[in-house]
Amino acid sequence: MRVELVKNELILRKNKRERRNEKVYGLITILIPLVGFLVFSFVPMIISLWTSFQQPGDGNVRFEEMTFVGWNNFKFVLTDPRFWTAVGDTLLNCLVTPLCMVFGLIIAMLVSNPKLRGRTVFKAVFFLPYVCSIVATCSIWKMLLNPTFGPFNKILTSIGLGALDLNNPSQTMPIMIFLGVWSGVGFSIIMYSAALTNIDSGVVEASKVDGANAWQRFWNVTFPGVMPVSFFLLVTGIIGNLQDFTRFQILLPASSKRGVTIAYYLYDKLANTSPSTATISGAGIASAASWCLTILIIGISVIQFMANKKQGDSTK
Amino acid sequence: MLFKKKKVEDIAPEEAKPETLDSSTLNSIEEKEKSKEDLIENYVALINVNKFYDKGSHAVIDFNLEIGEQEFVVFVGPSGCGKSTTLRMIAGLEDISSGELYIDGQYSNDITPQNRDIAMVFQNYSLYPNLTVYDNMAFSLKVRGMPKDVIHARVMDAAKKLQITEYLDRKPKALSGGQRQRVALGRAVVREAKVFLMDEPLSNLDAKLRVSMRSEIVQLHRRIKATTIYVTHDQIEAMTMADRIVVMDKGLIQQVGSPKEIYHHPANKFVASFIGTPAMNFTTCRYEDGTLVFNDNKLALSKEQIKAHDAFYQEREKALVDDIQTLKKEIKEREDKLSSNSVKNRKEAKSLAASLETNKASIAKLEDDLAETANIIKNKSHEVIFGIRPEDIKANSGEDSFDASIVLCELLGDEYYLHFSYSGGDFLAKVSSELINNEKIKSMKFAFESKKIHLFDKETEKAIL
Amino acid sequence: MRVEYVRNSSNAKKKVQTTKRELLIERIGSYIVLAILASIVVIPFYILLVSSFKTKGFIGFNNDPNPFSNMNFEGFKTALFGSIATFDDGSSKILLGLRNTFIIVLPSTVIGLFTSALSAYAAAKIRFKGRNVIFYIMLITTMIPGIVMMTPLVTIFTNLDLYNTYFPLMVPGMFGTAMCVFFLRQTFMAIPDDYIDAARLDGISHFKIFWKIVVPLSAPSLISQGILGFVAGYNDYLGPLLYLRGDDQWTVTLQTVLNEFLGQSSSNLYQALMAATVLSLIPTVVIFILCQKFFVKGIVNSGIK
Repeated sequence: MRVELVKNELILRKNKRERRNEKVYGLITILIPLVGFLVFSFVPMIISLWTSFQQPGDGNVRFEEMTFVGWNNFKFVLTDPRFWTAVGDTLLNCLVTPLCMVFGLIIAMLVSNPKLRGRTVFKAVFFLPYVCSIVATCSIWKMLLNPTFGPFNKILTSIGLGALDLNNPSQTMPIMIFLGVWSGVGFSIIMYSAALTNIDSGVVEASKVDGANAWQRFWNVTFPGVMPVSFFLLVTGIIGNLQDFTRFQILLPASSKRGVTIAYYLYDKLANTSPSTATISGAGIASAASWCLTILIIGISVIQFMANKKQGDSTK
Repeated sequence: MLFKKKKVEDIAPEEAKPETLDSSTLNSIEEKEKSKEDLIENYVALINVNKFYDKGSHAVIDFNLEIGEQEFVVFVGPSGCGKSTTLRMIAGLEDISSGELYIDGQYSNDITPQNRDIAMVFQNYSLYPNLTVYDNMAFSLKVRGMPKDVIHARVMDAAKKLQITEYLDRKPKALSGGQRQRVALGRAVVREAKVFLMDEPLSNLDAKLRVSMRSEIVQLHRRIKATTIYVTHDQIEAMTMADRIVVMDKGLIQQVGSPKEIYHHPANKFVASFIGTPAMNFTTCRYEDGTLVFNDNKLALSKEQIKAHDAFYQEREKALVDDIQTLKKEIKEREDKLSSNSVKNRKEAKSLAASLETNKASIAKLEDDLAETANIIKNKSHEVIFGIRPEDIKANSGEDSFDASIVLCELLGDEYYLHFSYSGGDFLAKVSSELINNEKIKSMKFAFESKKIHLFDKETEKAIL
Repeated sequence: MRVEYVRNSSNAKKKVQTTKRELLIERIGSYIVLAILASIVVIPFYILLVSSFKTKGFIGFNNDPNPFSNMNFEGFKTALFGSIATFDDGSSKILLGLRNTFIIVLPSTVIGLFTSALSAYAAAKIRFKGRNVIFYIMLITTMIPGIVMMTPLVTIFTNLDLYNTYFPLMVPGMFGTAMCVFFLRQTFMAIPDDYIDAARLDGISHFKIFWKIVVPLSAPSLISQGILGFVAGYNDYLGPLLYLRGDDQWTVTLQTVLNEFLGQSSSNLYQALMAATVLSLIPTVVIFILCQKFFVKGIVNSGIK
């Protein structure tokens, strides 16, 4: 009897130990990405907050050389006309997302018709710009849009319209928006294609029997059916648009009158890339500008979420 | 459970390929051509409707049916028999591969579903998820541009009829299955359409709800008096709801008739086994000059039954002879055409030759059948399939009764199901519980009600009696 | 009441005709629209490809619409080994950039995938207190805009004397990404718990279960996440821009090299630029064509939040 009791104790203890080990293992492995986030995202965020109140010394980012300057950085940024141009252009850039969504939905609907031949080919073609690096995209379009010998301009001038020119301030943003849509529409197409297949075909048939024509079917069945995807694309798309940077930095000089998004402005300040236009620059200004941008992003996202909730409530 | 339900695959279907001229198809083509005018007069008419799929499957074969105004017709059959496909062709949701569809006298093959003036209730209800119940029902009227007050009146009227007035401002996801079902019905009723189509509307409901909804649908039909076509795989629904039943299997119509006709006079073994619960009992036996010979037992047929049996085979002989003659004529025509060099090109010659081959094969088969039939008529001795329903097996009767050892005895309330072996088959008899004292009963005397015996030809499985 | 045989009446004919015509218009219309939109996408690539084989470019340059005339490989030669395309010792910048890109991207993608998978497995299959809380915190981290990290990360790494090394580009990725964890957790949750429980009863450790059972079963998802991660790293421009100086053999990546070429806008070098672009696109396009399904799967599932 006693031996058995002791055996049971040992087994119990072993089980407890095993279960504890299991839990420890689970805890450790699940936390690794979180640790990465802490180290490479959270801590930097705090440091950025600190830097935004500092003025860097000659070494630009060396901590030892930074001096506290209070709200000066923010004051500079918020009174800098170039910053506000940047805000305007960044908000303009947000047009890319709705355009991507509209074209994406149209193309996804056209391609989803089962009687259409070559569907996979079409899908692949539209998605091609998305897998290209932004640098490659810029290189292609820089050539195409070259004012003197780019093919587009040659055709346009022969018709009689003026040449497209990135350096023409009034044409800069439309061209950049077009580039954004050109590269980004593939993503929307894929998402909408998947969402369309999830629409209950029975409801579509019911609407046919009820007498709805194609337009009515779209508004009452298709559009509501892809609403969740639309919301996702809108939110993530706009957040991305607000941070757009690469194609602007590649194709436009930092001194360009238009087309300097907030992120580009930020980068310019950080890297001192244009000493002539940057009277004040450095990591401090850059951090301050980053936080302004972050507040803008959070603000817009909150508005979007509230609008979505309101719409959900009203249709109840 | 020793009683095996006969599987659908065990029963050879009637083959009706376009090229083969076998007696039934020949007859039916003649009949159809004669009465085409009459058919179109009826409210919904399908003439030689076929459905082929790209992969080569022939889902609906030579479907011919006329449906009168205000009739409640039920298509019933096992899964995959083509009933839903036919319904969807009537609705316009599937293309008709060949044949003609007339709705209210109008040729409708190419008319889109929107323009056909039909209303449909789907198996999964397919309600608009983002609209309220009211909007769901009003939708079809709104898209046709009806004035608001008319819409409101119709929707409220339908809601009252279906008792869903209190849910009008809810959305489908807040409703139970039965409530959604009613909304789907309401959406169809509101249309006041010419034809009502229902595709297995009750299959997603639990058993109790199904029973109550069945009677509600029938009452609804009586009130709104619309031509209704109802598809189900449940033969109880078919029997209780239909004015006429269309039994289908593997794309072919097996029988069309009123519930009574189909129950008492099934046209073939499939219909006999599909309709009626518990299913009919079957076994093979020999027919010897008016007597059925089982393993341990003999059963003498009445004079009327013998007459019917002989008539069946004589008719068959006659039909076969006619078919052979017609086929021979066609063969001669084709041979003449081939040999007279009036053929346009090689392609036509090839197809003619191919048709000739099939014709010759058909003739060979027909002549075999003819020989067999002649044999049967002469010798009056052949194997037949014997069928009797469980409710037509009487217990403890006097003459003509036989002893059977009971394999299993199941109590169902006020009746028992008694399973026993008979002449190589597993039989089931329904017996009232008054006749049984002890559930562990070992043997019982049974007799078949002679007027309710069914005989089926072994080759074609058509009903002799 | 005899209803007339209406088959050939004008009414029926009209209805038949409109529906058939409607369908035809619909079909032709969609083809046309798709063709127009598709050409907006395809034509630039076409011009790119053809221009890379011509000295004076295509269409715009010498107005010669024939794509096959005057083809040569000068552009490629210049792009790979020309004077502007090499370091002082003659080594090709593009090839070096390619090598460096692979060195940076492959290990961090693979290790990052591994870490994310481990985390996802724990989130999906191991029960312990606070598991769901931790997972939701991870989800929230995905909502933080990345731009705010640009300045501080550069600051921190420079202060740690890690500027101009591969560390900032490789190490953060190795910890796994929350999006990847989220997606893999979905996949793992689809594997029935019974497999895992049975193995545990047999005394197999979680890691072995993960490695021998769960990973093989979820291979397609892992591959699609891996491919997406690789392509993102390969195409990354911002990272190298911030952390590498790009002045010697080890501090260039493919994208920064391409950007350098972009900066030279002399018209004579356009062919080289086109050739370089074509070269840089080959790996991703090939992967895309071969693994289209994996791409699509990965993207679609990233939307299920």
